[in-house]
Amino acid sequence: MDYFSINSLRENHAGWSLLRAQNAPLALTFFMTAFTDPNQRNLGRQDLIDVLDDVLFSLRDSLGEDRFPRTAGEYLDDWAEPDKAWLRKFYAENRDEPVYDLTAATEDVIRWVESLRGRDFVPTQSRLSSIFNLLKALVHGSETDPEARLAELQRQRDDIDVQMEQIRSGTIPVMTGPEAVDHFHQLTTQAKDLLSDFREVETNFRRLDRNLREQISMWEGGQGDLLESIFSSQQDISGSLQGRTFQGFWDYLMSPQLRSELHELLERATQIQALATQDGLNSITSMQKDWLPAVEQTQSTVRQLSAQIRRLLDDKVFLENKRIMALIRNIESGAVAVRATPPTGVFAELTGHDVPVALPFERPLYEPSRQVAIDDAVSVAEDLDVDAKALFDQFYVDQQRLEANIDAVLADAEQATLADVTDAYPLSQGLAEIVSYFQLATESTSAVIDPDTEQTLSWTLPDGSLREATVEKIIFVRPS
Amino acid sequence: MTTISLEECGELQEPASRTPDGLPLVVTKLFKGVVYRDGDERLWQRLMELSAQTRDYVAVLGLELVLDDAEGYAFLRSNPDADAGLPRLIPRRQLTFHVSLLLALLRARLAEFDQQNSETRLIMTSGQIGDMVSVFLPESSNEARILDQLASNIKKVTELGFLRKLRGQDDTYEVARILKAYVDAQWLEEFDARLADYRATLDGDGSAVGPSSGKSSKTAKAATA
Repeated sequence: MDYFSINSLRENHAGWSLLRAQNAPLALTFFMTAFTDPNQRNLGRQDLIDVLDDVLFSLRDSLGEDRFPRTAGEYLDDWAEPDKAWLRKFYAENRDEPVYDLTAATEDVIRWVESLRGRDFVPTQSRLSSIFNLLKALVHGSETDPEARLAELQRQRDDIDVQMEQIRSGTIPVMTGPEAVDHFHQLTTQAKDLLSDFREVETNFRRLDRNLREQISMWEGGQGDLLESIFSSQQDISGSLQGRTFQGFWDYLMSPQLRSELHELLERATQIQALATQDGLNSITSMQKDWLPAVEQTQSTVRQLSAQIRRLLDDKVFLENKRIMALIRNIESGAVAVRATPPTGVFAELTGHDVPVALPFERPLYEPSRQVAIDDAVSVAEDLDVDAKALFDQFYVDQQRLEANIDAVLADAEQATLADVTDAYPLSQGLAEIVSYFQLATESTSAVIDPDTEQTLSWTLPDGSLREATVEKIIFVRPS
Repeated sequence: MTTISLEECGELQEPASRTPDGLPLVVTKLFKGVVYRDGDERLWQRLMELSAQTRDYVAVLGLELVLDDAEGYAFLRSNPDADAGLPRLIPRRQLTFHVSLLLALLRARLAEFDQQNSETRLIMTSGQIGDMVSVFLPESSNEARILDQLASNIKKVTELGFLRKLRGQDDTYEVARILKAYVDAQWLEEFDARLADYRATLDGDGSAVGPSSGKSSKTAKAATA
């Protein structure tokens, strides 16, 4: 790698941008808590928001409220933006809420950051022996000369004979404690690596898929040539290098004989005395259980990608899509041309997708409306001293004033008619005032209403006109 | 007449043994609208088993069954080869220009999406739909009116069943893949031809054209004014 390719990685690679980001510690903590530690994938938005809220809460608690100003949802959206691509956001079948998964780049960053913490133990001996085994498998597996193959097998048989002889004679070579621990660490690391590699395998499949789609959409020639080009160059997903090794792995894992052998070996590994004190000893038995869902997911991704590619390549769809895109380009330019004066009224028709069957008796009959319980409790405000009466008596006649008027007239005479009172204290509120006087008269014991005689009272309106009212005569008597 | 109906009655007495189990359900559900695999797996399974019988049954009514197993939907449509005198059972929906255009653009978006993307679900926000359409809307100072119009067009397309509002998310829609079955090359060809006619009328400014075109060019002038 030269300077420029490294620089472009630094500028464009999602993993590097994650490391450079201001809030990388937050993002990484969250990714580890939500995805890698519990070994989960494809989490729904709400679940993730809950986890991130927890993370944010504890961080704000110790770092201060204003440390991370955005909400969990905003962070998630930001991290899933195509220019960041730390999370892959997609919509799964049958789920309306978006689903998120780590991208392979993010996974790499997490593993790298975790490795920075340093390991207190690095297995070396076991690595050497696994290199040896690999090398042997490579060299002998590729040997085509039958003589050489037979010679190798013969050598292995002799070797086994020697070992059997040794054991019969009483020398049993047992792996020493450190050796066992070394191998065990190597085993767990590789198992974990394998698990996280699946994510990258999936990414590789998606990339193959994208390349293929690009090729299909750019293809100018006939469909047959396209198919030939795809299959001859083994660019289709299952024919690719990645696809075939993955298929091999899958077949291997799915072989019942190998599965039971693996299971038995793992069981026996946990019984080894020298490893009794190792952490995570029992969790290695679940290795297979961890792999299966991960592999299954990758497998289903491949299946889904292949199915869609097949659909895209389907003759009818292939030709129709091309035609449709051409037509739509035409329509678009036409629509721009008539933008200012678009056609009005009905322009096109489309068939519906149901057969409307009108069922007159399906219509609901009249139903008397039910009583609806209404909570009419009114919460009373503080201003109790406000007299609500003012609302109701917009036209207020002060009865006390009228009583005072009567009393004042009666101070000089034994009795007085209403006319006397109004002469002394002219009516200012017209009929309402007269009505109030009548009210006082009926309520008072010292007043008489004479129904046989009449009096005419007069008052002046604010505009200067004179009004008169002829009423029954009231006689007020000074109370004794 | 009497004998025939008696015979029919005789046949009708044992319908259970003649009608395959589940056919009434499958047919009535199809009458009610599109059947999706995602919507009801068991119903879909039934439909797959009984597709031949369903086809025969609806053929009597001048309908044909469209079934796309890969995309997971099935619906009924008028059989194009049926007798022309047959009354139409499936109504046609009338669309305005802008709704038609929105359908065409969504169809294009879906085709592009399929070519570039491995996902099956095309999700768009109303903002994205707005961006897609805005180029084709008249330039107007009244943005609120344009937004209202866009919202009502989206609503119309949602009613037609080609956009589906996502639960729990405001302004986010899934473009229904069944759009591909309705907005096909033939429909787009008609659209294109009609638009070309309209443009020709507009350019000809109503001279030497039929009464209906003359009317449309008049409305167009009124719209400009």
